[in-house]
Amino acid sequence: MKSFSVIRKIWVLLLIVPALFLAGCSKNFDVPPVNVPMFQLPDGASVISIKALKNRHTVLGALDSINDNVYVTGIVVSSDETGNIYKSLYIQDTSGGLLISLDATSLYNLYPLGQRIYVKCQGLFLGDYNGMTQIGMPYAGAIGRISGVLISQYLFIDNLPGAVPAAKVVTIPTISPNDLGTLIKLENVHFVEVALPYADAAASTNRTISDGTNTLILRSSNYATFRATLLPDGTGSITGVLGLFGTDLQLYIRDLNDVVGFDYSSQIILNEPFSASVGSFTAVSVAGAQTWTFSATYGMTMSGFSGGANNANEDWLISPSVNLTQFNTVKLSFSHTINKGVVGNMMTNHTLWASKNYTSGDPTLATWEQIPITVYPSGADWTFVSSGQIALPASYEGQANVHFAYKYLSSTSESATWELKSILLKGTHN
Amino acid sequence: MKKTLLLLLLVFFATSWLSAQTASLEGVVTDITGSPMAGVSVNVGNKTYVTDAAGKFSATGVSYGKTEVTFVMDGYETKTMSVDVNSAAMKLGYVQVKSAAAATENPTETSVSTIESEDEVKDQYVSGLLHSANDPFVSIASYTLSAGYFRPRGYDNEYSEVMISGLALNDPETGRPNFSDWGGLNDATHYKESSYGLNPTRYSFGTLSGTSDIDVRASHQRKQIKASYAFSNRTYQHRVMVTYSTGMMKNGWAVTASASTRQGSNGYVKGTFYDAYAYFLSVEKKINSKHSISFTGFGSPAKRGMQAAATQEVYDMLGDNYYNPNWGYQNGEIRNSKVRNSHEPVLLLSHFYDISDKIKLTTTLGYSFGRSGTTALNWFNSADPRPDYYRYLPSWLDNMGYLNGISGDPQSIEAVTSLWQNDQNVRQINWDQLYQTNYLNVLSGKQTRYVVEEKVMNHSQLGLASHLNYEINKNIFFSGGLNINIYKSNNYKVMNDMLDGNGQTGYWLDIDQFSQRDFLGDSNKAQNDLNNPNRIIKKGDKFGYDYDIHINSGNLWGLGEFTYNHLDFYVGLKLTGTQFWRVGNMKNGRYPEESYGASAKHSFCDYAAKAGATYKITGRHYVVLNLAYSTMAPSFSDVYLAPRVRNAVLPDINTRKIFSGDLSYIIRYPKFNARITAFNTNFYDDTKVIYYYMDAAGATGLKESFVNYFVTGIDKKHQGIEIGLEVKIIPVLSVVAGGSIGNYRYTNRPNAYITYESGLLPDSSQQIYCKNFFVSGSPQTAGSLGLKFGPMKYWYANINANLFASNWVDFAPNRRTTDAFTNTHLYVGDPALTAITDPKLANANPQFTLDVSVSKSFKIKNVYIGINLSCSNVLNNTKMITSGYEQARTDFYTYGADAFPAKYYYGFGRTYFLMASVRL
Repeated sequence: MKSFSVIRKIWVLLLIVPALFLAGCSKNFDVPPVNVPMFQLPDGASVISIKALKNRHTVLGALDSINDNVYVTGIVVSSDETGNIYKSLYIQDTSGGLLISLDATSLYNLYPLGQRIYVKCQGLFLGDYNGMTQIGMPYAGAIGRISGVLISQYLFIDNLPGAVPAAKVVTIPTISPNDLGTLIKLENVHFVEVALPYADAAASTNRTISDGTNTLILRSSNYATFRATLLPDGTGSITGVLGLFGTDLQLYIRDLNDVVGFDYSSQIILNEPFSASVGSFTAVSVAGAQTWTFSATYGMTMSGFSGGANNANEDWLISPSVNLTQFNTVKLSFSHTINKGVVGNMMTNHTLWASKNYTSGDPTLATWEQIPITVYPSGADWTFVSSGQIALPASYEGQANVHFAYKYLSSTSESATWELKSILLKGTHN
Repeated sequence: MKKTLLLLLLVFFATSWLSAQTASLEGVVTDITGSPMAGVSVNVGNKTYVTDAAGKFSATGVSYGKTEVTFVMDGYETKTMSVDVNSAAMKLGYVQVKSAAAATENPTETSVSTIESEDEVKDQYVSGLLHSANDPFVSIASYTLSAGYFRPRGYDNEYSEVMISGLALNDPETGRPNFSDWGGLNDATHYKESSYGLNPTRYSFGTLSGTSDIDVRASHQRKQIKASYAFSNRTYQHRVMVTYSTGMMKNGWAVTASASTRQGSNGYVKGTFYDAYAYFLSVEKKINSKHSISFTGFGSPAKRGMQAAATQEVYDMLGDNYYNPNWGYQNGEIRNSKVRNSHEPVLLLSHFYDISDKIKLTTTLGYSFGRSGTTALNWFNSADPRPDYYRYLPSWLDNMGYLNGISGDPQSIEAVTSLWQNDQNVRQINWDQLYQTNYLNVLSGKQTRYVVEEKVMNHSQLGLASHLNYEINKNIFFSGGLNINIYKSNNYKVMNDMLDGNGQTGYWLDIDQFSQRDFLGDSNKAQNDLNNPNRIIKKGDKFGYDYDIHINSGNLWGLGEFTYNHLDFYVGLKLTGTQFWRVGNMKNGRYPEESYGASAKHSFCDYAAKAGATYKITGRHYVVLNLAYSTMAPSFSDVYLAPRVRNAVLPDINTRKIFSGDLSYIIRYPKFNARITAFNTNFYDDTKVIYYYMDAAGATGLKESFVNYFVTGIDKKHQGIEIGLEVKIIPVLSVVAGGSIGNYRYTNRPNAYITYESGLLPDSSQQIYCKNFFVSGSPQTAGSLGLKFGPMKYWYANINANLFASNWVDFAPNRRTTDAFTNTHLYVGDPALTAITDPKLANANPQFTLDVSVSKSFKIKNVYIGINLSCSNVLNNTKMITSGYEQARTDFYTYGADAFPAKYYYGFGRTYFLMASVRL
């Protein structure tokens, strides 16, 4: 059986080779154990308080090297997980808080909230950035960040993360320099810029926290994940890390869990800032050649003045259809200014209307009800004023197809300019 | 095109009057025992024939007068005889070739190297593909110069073709041959019939660069049992290979089986490993004198740890041009983050039909399938784990202050440099820390931060190839064929390792974190699959993207060879139809309307024509001219804007056009053999795609995000001269020399089409200022001078001195645009500008290497024993850049022109390959 022997040889061959090395190189890596780091203070080193360390920086703008073998230790109270705090780590002990400036992101992975860390100060520098004392490395003759690669040479973690120290409850007037770099909590405060986002898209933004009398800056980064969330109405408490810029105290929240209480029940139904375009609104010209036009600076603007003359116009700026079937207590607010017209005609030529049966096109074919505008501008300058909260009549609640519209009138004898922005329709969800 | 046709017709008519005065030449090749030898290459004049199972060859169109006939067979001494052709039907009778005892398998089996483009791992095997017997230049180019990444005429691999029994094994997506499919099967895939350049073949229309047909027929394999062991310090350390061939048995069956393994825990480059097996079985049954059926199946499952390129800053800092950022220690063991894992078996069923003495039909039905994947680290809202991320390098301390003219703190720079040099956890991936980060996040209920994912391609391909060879009369030989190919690949990511453990189980959310950032508050946009929103991914789950590529193609070709006394010529034509489309298996949140389901089908019709002539001045002097014009459908990836996420394609789809010609003078004497060739190839409307992270600040109106960047309408010119010669000084000593001087350049200013993968901004376009830039991918000038000794008492030796020059780095097209300079502080005459505008990118100083190999074989009774030792780059030149690319990422405005420098690969220093084999 020659063919049998051939087949047998082939099988032997096909089996031998893999068998030679089967146990060879295929790797299954051992999973590393959970590492519980224990920090041991090196011989000859001593721990000083954060306050004692910061006190070494006495001259504003100076760069102070730290040459003796000292450590500070504290608990991490900041987190860059949401991106609001950036390349900064705040630790605090009972004496105070310290800002550590680091050229690295996602610090929360290595130095999470509640983590005790030791900072080897020898070789680092103390300085201040616009008055805020921090520890770091030199940059252009002033204090800068510790290079990302070098962080592990100066920051040492001790044990697993534990509890975050309770934020110190303060009132705005009683905030002291000693609170800088620590976690503080303000109670019974409100936001002045309700319904504006925490930060504009283009840059870090200051908003105002008020206790009714005193104010404090809330500074948020445009890279924060909650950047676009709107500041809530009502009052509540705000926790954050306290910073300083020049003479301005600034509070940084870690995430939205730091903003507690407040009135979250009212929801935004429609938010049209007119910041980039006419957005969801529609401009309809009933009479006259001039129309509502968009301006990046002024929002939606309408004027019958053209070619050096006043022109008769009727022009509507109509909202998209809004569904109010699940809302009550619906309120409209916007910002506007009116100028160059006869002030006495201002409240008849610039009016707000609402409809339950408008669909599209010519507004005069639908039924409209006038809604009084509560706050008008002076009519004689370009200052924008807030309309305040204009309540929509209760009859509109539960309606599926509600439009509201801004109606502009001018004549050949006078034509004002009306500018509109920041339209916000809010309501309470049923 | 009209010109080409006209030329073809002219060639045809101008020569048809020539009288038919040529001879045929027949013979049978046997070994010293008189057994017929199949698969021996027989070179007659400038043509190559291969002996059949009976050892028979028959050459046609042989000129009268003295002609060299050379017999080449691996493991046998090459035999050259001078024949005086003086009758119309010359018979050589039996020609014996002497066994070189045990195999002198070419010892410089080219190293397998990896080239990695940004974020994409591509395998590029440099192979002995173009081995064309008896051409000194081709032999030097494939075996000696390929170590320096030399590619003849600067052509990409997609312009070469590798077949088995007439069925092309090129990947329909890339057009490149899948050399890794038969890796480790050197014994079984050894016999090839190859043609170089545009020269005609009888099993394929041919390509620009050359075609090889691997002969795997069991009846053509030498009857033997062979085992070999090789030890090397290149990509693997150990190779064991066993091959068994029955030869044609009396019952009409022939069987060849081969198996091998290649193993290495650490290659020449640290952190690379090799864990590969290979198997091969070929069975042939001769049904009768006219029909033979052959079945062949093979596969090469392989796992390999990959290398990545790094910047010169890192190499210089570490004093090591072989630094590999892909690995790090986990629990004290080396772990590579980029592991390529592939197994793509091929099954072939062939029918060989000798219709008559003059007509042969070869038909092969092939099926291949399998998977190939490459792992990589991925991370969520965490620091980049790659050790050589630009912000972790000393140069970052300077670059970050560029905009404000602030240089870095010298002490910090020194400290960072020192850590790089002394701390493994800074220099390499810190796996333990990645685990630790995951533990802490999983403990607090958060998503796993670091994972290892694998980008996988599963493919299946059915191919049918049939070709006919018909000797119409003694002057006319017709070859023609038909190919049909149906291809599908499924592309997706799979979770390979969650980097968790110790009782904790992590999870991963299937969302795109860049879209989450770019489309803040829009929870749909960030979804990778709207059909399964916010899906929780565990180990083994598919995620990220999942789509199919379908490519169907077919072609018809014909080639006529006309042979006369002083003139041979050929004309050929090929028509190709290609159709491809995408099928999305996920509904992507960025493109809900155009990601799920099938895209439109895109069809292309291409043609190719070629013609050439050989003028036989005498039987020793030839002038050869080849011309070819072809159109080529764009590849799938040249057309789809973002195939991972959407169905859309480029608004203007271009078909490539290639016009090529070469003119050679060939001299063949018993002791002197030379060829000189001038070549010129023009490429028109080529496309190149890059995928990179676009930095924002400098260029107005752009945003930070991933972009797909299509450079379209690229025109290139490859021109140069090739020389190869071999001089036999004494019977056992020859001088072999070969080299090429090339000038491969871009000849226009193409346009780029830019599309944001996430659709963040509308598509835009740019003009690329790259006219006269050099084409990368190969040294444009290379040469080798060698001495070939042997056989003398079964000793062989080779020594080769090699020179490589003008190897240019792949330039980043987006750096050559006006947008890249918008608002920058760069000024005319700025030294930093030179680096951007100079077409001679990077240092391409001539590099010199020396290779030596020695082999000896013994015969003890019936057992042949062979020992080969080859040492490449004996002088240990570690300064030779073999390839490199500029990073596409730039931000000239913020960080200056030098912030994202080019990355390089260096050719290996001194390596050796020692092999012992036993054959009976």
